[in-house]
Amino acid sequence: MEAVELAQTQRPVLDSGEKIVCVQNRVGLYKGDERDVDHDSGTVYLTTHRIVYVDQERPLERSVGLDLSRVLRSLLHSGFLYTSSKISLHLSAAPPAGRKRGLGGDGSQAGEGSGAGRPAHTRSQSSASARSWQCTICDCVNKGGGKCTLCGVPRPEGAAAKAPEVEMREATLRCPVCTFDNHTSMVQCEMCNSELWQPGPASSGSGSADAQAAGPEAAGGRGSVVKLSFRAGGASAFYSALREAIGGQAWVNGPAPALAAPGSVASGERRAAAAAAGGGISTIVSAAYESERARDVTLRSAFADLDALTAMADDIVGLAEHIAKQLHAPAASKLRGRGASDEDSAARGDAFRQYLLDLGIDSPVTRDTAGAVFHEELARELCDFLEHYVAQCGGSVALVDAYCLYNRAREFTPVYPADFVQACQKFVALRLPLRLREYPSGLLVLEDAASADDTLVTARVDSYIASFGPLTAHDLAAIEDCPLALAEERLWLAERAGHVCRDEGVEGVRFYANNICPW
Amino acid sequence: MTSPGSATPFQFPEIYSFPPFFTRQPNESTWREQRRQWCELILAYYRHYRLYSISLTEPAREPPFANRQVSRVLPADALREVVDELVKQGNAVWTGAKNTKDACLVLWRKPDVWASMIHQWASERGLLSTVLTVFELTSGDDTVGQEFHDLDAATMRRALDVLQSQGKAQLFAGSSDEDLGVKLFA
Repeated sequence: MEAVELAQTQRPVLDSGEKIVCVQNRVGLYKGDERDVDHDSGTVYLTTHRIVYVDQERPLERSVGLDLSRVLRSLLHSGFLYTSSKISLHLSAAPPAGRKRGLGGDGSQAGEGSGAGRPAHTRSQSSASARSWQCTICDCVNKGGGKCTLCGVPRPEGAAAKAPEVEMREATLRCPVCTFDNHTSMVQCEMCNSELWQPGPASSGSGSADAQAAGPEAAGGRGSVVKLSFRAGGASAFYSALREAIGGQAWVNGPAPALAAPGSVASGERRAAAAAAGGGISTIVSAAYESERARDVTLRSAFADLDALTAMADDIVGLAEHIAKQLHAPAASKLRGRGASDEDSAARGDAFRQYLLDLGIDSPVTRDTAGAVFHEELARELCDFLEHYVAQCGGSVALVDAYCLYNRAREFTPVYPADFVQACQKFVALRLPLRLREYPSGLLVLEDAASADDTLVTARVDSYIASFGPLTAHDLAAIEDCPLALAEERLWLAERAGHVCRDEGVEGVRFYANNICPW
Repeated sequence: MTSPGSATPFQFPEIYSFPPFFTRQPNESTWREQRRQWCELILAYYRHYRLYSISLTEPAREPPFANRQVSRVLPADALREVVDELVKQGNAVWTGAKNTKDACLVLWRKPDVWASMIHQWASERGLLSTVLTVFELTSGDDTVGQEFHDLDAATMRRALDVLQSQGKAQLFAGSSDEDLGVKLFA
């Protein structure tokens, strides 16, 4: 597994076309049969392309990902008493060619590929744990592992040092059905006659089997096993989602089908037309016309009916992004500035781009995909989505406005207001850069943690009064371009701080600098 | 010393023309300061014009409770709170019907100060152990130029009550307040 890129909110950064299918918290990783102490508790995201483990304690350093295309086989082991449910994944060794994200050579985190940046002691520890040790209770000689395979007693501290160096390095091939250790030359299990799992061509010699027995990190050419241990349940749901994702093979279709679609519809004819015209302005114009027509078709069929739009949401979002990108390019805006002046069209382009960006959230968090961590995940997504908007609005936004904007972006999977508020209440616990604040009047507001400091707000009010004279809430709302309710709250905040005082006249409440009791 | 009915106009403080001064401030610390400034203003104004009573039965229209220049009036509720504060300081007492708080007597000089002033005057004039009427004290020719000349009857009565409680005076009830007699002792 290789390290993954995380967004600021500690969710994995998704490729275009990639979607989160299922999320489960409190999951630990095992390499082979051994518990991976570095990846013992975290949140696992199943996307259409990958499985991403985000560590709870140190998300930035310890998070790893695994492409689904590498999964050869997956098995679900249901839990029993104190054993939690596990999903084991048999991985192919080499990353398939053509994928953007290269993989480490091995399924385990301590493998050679990803081990370069890791502290040395981790590796030495793992090699020590792979050495054989003798159980103090039953004298069984174990190879690695934290527990005696015979009696289940945990391995005592320093057992490796005391144990005799009897390396059980006999070449064996474990039967996947009955777990009998067969000789490597066997094709079928001696015990149950089932097919033995065949190693790849690179590792057909007895040496590689030996290597795997010694520790997974040495199994260079051979596939390895990674287990996910679901300590908070949810294994079966995750498993079925995983099967579906693997079956869907979303990665086969290429990273961005949406972008390719509108162009490719007409690309054949267009190229033919271009060849016929022989280049020049007319070709560009006709190409533009063709792509416009293709877009038109997409839009028309998309809006034909809501179900169709649901099905085509991907295309539409892709299209929106595409147009936004085009508008962003200065050359494009110059080309478009035919009738209107350049600045005018640039301004309009900006507004249009904003609408387009507002339109799409690629893979909205839902109760189905996130389950028990729904509110946490929602909070992270909210933060991703709203952070920019809140910053643009001067650091605070009424919760209702944020809710409307967010739900519009979610298109077909709106969230309930109660869920929205609950998610917002998790901002502090998740150390996200937004805050939910309730003013004494009951007004709920989303604030940027950095700029929502009370002293900053009162300082702003002070400076406005200093330059514009006494203010009403209306005046402040006009100056700050914020909702009236929020302007009122800000003035009250400044009043509570003793910076301003009010004058209740017939024409309303007006706020003055506090000359009565200068602060 | 200001003579009664002073011709010089009262110098209002700057805060008197600040509109929020006439709104009861919700911020507690601002209000405490505002109330203190109101108390100060009322006492200074009442002493300047030798006024004694505030009536809260109808909205105030006159200075110092209203300012025509900024067209602001201190609301009655806020004024009650201000007077409550004056009462707490000992500079006012509620008069009139019980628990209505619609009239008060402003004591811009405390009764014991008046009392010692009167006692001192009497001992200087050698009038101790002589029966005097209250009319003589407030309007008599002997007290012209004294600060308690023309003193409000109710305030005078409070000063004399103080003297009596100190054992320095004895009051003799007459047919009316004006006829009240008093005998001062050393």
